[in-house]
Amino acid sequence: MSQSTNPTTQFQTDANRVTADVDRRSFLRSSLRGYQTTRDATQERFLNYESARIAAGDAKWEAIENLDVYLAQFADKLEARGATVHWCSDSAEARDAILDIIKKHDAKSVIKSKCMTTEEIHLNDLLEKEGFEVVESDLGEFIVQLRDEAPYHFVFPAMHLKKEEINTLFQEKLKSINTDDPEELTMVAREVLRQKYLSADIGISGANFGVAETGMISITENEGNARLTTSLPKVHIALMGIEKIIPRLEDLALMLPMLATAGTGQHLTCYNSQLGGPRQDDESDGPVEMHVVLLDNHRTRLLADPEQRDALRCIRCGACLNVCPIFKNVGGHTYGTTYQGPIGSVITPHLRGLKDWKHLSHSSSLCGACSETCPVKIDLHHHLLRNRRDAAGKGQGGLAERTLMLGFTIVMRRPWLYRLTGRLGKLGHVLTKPIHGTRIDPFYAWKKTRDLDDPAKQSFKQYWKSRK
Amino acid sequence: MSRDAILGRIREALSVKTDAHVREVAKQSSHSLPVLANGPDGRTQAVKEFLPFVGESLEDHIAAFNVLSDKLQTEFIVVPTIDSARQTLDQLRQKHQWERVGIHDHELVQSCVDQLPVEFLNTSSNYDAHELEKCDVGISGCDALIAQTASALVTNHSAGGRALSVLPPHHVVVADASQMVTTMADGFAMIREKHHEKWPSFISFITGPSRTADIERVLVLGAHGPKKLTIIMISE
Amino acid sequence: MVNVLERLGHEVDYPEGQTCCGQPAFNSGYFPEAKKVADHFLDTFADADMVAVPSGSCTAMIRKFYPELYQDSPQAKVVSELSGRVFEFTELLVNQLGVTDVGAKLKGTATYHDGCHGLRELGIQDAPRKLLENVEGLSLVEMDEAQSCCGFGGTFAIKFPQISTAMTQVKLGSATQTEADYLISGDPSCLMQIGGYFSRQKSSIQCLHIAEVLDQQ
Ligand code: SF4
Repeated sequence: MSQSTNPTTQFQTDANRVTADVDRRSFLRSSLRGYQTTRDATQERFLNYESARIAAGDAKWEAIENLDVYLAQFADKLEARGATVHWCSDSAEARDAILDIIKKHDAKSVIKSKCMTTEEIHLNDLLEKEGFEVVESDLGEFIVQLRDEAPYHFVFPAMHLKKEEINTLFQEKLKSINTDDPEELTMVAREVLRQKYLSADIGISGANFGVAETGMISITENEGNARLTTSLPKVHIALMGIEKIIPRLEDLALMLPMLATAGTGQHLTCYNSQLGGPRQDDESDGPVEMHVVLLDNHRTRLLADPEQRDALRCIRCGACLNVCPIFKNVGGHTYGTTYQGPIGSVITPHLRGLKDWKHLSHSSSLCGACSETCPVKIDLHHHLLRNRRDAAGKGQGGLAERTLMLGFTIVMRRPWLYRLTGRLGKLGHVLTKPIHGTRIDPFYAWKKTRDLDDPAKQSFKQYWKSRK
Repeated sequence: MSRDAILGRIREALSVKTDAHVREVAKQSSHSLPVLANGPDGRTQAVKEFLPFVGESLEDHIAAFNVLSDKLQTEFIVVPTIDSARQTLDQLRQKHQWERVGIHDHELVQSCVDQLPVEFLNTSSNYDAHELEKCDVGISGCDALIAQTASALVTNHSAGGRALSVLPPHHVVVADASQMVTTMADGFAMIREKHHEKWPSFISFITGPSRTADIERVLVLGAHGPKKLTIIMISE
Repeated sequence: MVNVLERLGHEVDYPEGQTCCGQPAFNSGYFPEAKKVADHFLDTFADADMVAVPSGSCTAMIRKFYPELYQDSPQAKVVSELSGRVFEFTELLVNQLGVTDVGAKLKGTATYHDGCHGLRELGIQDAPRKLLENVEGLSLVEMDEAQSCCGFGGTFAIKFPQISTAMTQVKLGSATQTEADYLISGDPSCLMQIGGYFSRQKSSIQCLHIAEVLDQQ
């Protein structure tokens, strides 16, 4: 994922490499099949999962369509309880805000719980450059951090790695014992990280939801690392995108089970915590300061799109990745984005520019498995189509494609021409026989891996005539 | 200020109404479905009518809690009286060789542990986190038990702060039967009633012992938090 | 398809002016171009009582996407009426005409591939299976990946041949596991993709359109 090549080329190259790796692909597929089985069983328990999706989707619509009101309410409530809210228009502002807090406290070490938004603003790079020790505490994140890699999947960051690879990594970086038992490996990480929680000055977390009514953030996790991160260090910083808002506390009673079911197939993840403010007068522990850093970073640009603001309702469960045939075959790193899979392909062009990222909208068969599974019913695959429309509208498809489409229109509107093209096609097929299979064959991209039937001797139209 | 700038951009963006077609999609379904009214009541009700059904009576709830606890590997023990809770705790002490126990000022907790022959650390006022880390177990109360999800709902008031229930390797919750409710929404309602306008800064649904499956999807308990979770419910 | 419908006693006409529904342009993002082709479709089929389409994908284009394409246009009404009369072949038979047994015969084992558009845009899942279950001599085995995309996706198959082919490879693996003789589908484009790859891989599985199967006597 080097920064120098353009994203489209990088995508094609990485896709070539990963699709050729049959072993890794089947490893991914079998682990996602496991997910699907558990999730199906959990969905079965619902009295009515479809209706639950609609209701959950509604809660997010309400939040997004009244975002100004709810966001202001959220911030006011939080501040009333002693937290500080920082409003940041872009990555740079958010990085500065966080760096300021850390410097003000004369901190040395930072412990982080899983937060994709910090990936979005490249926080770790900055903090390390400034000389701070930054430790990711989520096991998957911890592993990819040791490998100096981006997360592979925004819910399962290390899903691409086999236990043997993690064993090698731990031996090398942590001088740990030689074991490829997942339990022992987990315990190695546990021991290393325990000490970090106790000594870290600053804890940084994300937020899955921001409750407007009560001014709380809600964090969903399984490991307990986020709870430790937000309990022990004396300062807690939470970074969240402005779209994470939900109107009321009770909405969580629906959103949290939906997030778990769609995300991991659990009926509820292990810890779902709501944090509103630093340690209060009558409380015995918790951070003395709580900072909530709100990030826009072009989310308002997406909000301004009356069709695709839909995508701001995303609760980042990752389900659309898990069912996506593209993701399963190219893997997470190929995307080159913070958010992989269908949702990443929809929003990245808005957050980072359509011109450079439109290929993600084209690298889809529009099969719709994502929209079918999304717990809040985002119209994902149709948004990919809308991105294609917008790219074509801006003439980004290139001259050749435009000409082809023009030709297509002309032919398809004129039945005689359509017939003629059919015949010419047959003629062409015969004439090009000598070059079939070569690079100059017009169907090269197809035929490299697939056969193409010879055109029928008789078109249906001719057959129809002969029948009469 | 940035606040005004961002809120201004949001308002401007929202001045164009959402495309009707897209808005419809989120409501459509290939099946014909009951859809509840929008708004707070609609959604609280949704929790009851769409999410898993766990019965109405206490027996139903206990049964449901039990089934899920098994799956989660939560140790769920129903005992008749405070006295039997004391005995259960003492058995656990022997079994797991507890020497140091984290507790807090909580009526039910205090009366259950008063005879345990161990060293106590009380987290209800300033305490040292390093000391808590050395405890073998943290014993806390809770606000509610949620039948639908087999969760213990805690706040820093009912559970002795934020860390007692997550730092030691074993977490024991003591509760009584009157705390069993059906849904998470019911749990929130209880906290709402108890704390009204002064919310605790920490609320959490604890659903099973800490876990991870980050390595090849193999389930491992005790990733960072407790490896064991025991919930003792006193039924009388 | 024509044979089957006529056997069931329906009058079938094939308007010779017909060409394409416009989906190739639409899916590439060229909406105005697609609309021009769609105009031609509307002209050709405006008078039909019912339009039978041997492809879930083309049906989806007309029924689901035309209304979006014509959202703010004067033809919106015509479009919404026509799109209510357009049916994919199997849903026409089973849901509209109430036929599940067309009296076809074919010996062997078959597995069914759900075309994505038919399955997810139109919700067609049971109809083809009911029809196939009633084909004499044919037994139906489900494959794990029945509902996974075959990898075609129009221009996607050309723009990203490596991903497209990888997807078909998964399909082949899953179909092979069922030990079926035939892979049957309701979408010619899926069959072109799957058939093309299977034949390149020298798979013995024969790929058939469901209309061909139902026509076997
Ligand atoms: S788009 Fe939907 S399925 Fe995908 S991550 Fe977001 S909420 Fe989950």
